[in-house]
Amino acid sequence: MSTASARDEILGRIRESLAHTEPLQRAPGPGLSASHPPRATLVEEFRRALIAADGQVHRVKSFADAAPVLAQRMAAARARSVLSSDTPEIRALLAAAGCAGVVTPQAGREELLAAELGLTQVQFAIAETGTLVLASPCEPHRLASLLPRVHVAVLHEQDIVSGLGEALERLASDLLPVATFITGPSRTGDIELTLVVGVHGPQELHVILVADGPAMPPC
Amino acid sequence: MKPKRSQDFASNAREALADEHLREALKRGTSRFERERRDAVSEVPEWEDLREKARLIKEEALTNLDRYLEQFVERAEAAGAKVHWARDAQEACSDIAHIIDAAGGGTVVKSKSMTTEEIGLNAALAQGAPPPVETDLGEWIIQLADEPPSHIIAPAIHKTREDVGALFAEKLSIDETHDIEELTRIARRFLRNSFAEASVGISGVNFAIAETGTLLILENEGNARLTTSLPRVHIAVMGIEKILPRIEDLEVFLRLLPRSGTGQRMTSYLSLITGKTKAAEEGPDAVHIVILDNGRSAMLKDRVTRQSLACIRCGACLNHCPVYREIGGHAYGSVYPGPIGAVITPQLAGVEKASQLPFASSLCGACRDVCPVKIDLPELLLELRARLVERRGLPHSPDARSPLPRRTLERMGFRLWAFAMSGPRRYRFFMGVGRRAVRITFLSTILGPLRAWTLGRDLPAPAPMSFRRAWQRRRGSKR
Ligand code: SF4
Repeated sequence: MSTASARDEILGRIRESLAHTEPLQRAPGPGLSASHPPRATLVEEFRRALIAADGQVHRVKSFADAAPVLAQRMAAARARSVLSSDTPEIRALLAAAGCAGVVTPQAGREELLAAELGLTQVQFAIAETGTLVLASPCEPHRLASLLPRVHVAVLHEQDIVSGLGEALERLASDLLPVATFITGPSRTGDIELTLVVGVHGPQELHVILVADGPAMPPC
Repeated sequence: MKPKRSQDFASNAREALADEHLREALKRGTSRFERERRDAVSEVPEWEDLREKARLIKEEALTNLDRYLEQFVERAEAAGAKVHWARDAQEACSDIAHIIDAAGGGTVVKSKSMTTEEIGLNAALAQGAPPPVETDLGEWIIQLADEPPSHIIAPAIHKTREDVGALFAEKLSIDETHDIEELTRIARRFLRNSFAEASVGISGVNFAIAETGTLLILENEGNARLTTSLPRVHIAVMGIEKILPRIEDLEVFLRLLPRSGTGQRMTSYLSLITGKTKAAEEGPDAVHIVILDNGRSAMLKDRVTRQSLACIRCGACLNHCPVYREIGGHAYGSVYPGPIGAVITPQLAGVEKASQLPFASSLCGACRDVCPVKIDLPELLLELRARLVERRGLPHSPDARSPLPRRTLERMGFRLWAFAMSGPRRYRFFMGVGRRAVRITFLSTILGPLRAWTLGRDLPAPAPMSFRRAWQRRRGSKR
């Protein structure tokens, strides 16, 4: 087993190697140029980037309109059970869509693996890349956004930021313990570099994009 | 053909060149990577700026590495991770074996990690227990085939759909199919079973943030997410060089890495893991981080070799290397192939063990031009050549026993090239004047041991128009 001596020895070797090197000090200068386009432009940029990454977007006016979209997706996926991230907003949505077989992240592994559709919120999204950002302090999203063949995520338009820099800034204050960036469905190119979606994670990613603000206070 | 793990580059290369099937697969793969990268890079007008920023961030991280490593460890431990330091491959493997034992054994799943390839983890763990199940599709394919990876981001790039179909039929006792979607579905089905029973997950690490103690893992398939969230124990293996100082530094690297590797704007998934999850949340009960030296600390010593540690393993230098494109990864006989492999293998394994690799390049400079962190790979290759020649003359060269003046001359030649390569201005000047000379030198002198190969095949010599010029011309015409 490695010991304190392994630590000391490795750090010692590093210091010895760097003994004659002037450490580079980098002034934390201005980051990359960030643009702040109007909301409508952001939403459109996000929509395009997500579609380019093989995701699908369903725009609705209010949170109440999200339920029929979810019901449609459940029917299309023939989902008998839905793995829910179990936030109050998601619970309300499932109830409104009339969903019976709900599984929560605390369930046993077998039940988790059997769910056909996963439902989560999105803490915020990045317009530049069409990326959804989910953070574990807000909701237990890790399995619901990963195990089922279909992932449906609910995003409010006001939670779209322009670029990566802004997203990292927003995240930096509360990273613990897990944040996940999702850009499109699971994919592979490992056989002849031919793109196939749904190799380990979801084959379909649907984002229900709600124009109005959140129905409940965000996390 | 089953690749031999011979370290004789010259004979490996000859064999690879005679394998039309392999060359066809390689050509398809590397040209596709090249095309996709070009398109993705052309969307980013500030690309050169990003590369320079990335280079500076890495240089800052590396020249302050002791401090940043300590900070990283302190933060990761405060967030509940357990850190293990490993001086070498053997220590890392035994640390990991202990952690698995303490977790009660069982099925171990693994996501793609070149560092675990470097330490020979699967072989070390297979003594007495079934080896970890590789869950990245490409890695799983080559695990079934009992081969090493041939590319750092596309491990099975040398295999065609027919190869994979035949392999699955034989190893999994199923009907043979050559349909890529069907083959992928089969992999999902088999690997889901491994995930369902896994008790330990082993992953690599792309970046480790000193400021926050955060691990970053980029991927497309979702197998790394499964590996790090389903099993009760997660073991992350990282080299000491994965450190970035601040979370904001990621912006630059996240723009560079996916575009350089697969030509994507962003990979499907990016996991940021800081310590272990709290009791009420999903995720493993324990997160272990194994920090590996294995020869890296010695590379910090001078500016030239230190660059080797800036590599973010994007694979672009492989895809653009005229030598790699012809012979593929296995011919290098090392875990890391291509230009970056030719540079780090002799430094990790000792120049004596990989003495031919620094010569496995035409020094055309394409690798340096595409490297997202601006590693001067030709400069590094020349430095390693010079060190080798200093030590004992040209390896396996018919002239190795020639009188000293000849060798000294050659040594000086390499130093001269090193000088020529040491700045973009100087490089352009020398390349302009010396293009003809390089070609001749390359064919007749430097690659003496490979003469049979170079004469019989498509010459991987510098093109009449350099890649750099062709590239600039192409980009110029786009504007
Ligand atoms: S050396 Fe540069 S181009 Fe090659 S893999 Fe590393 S980062 Fe990519």
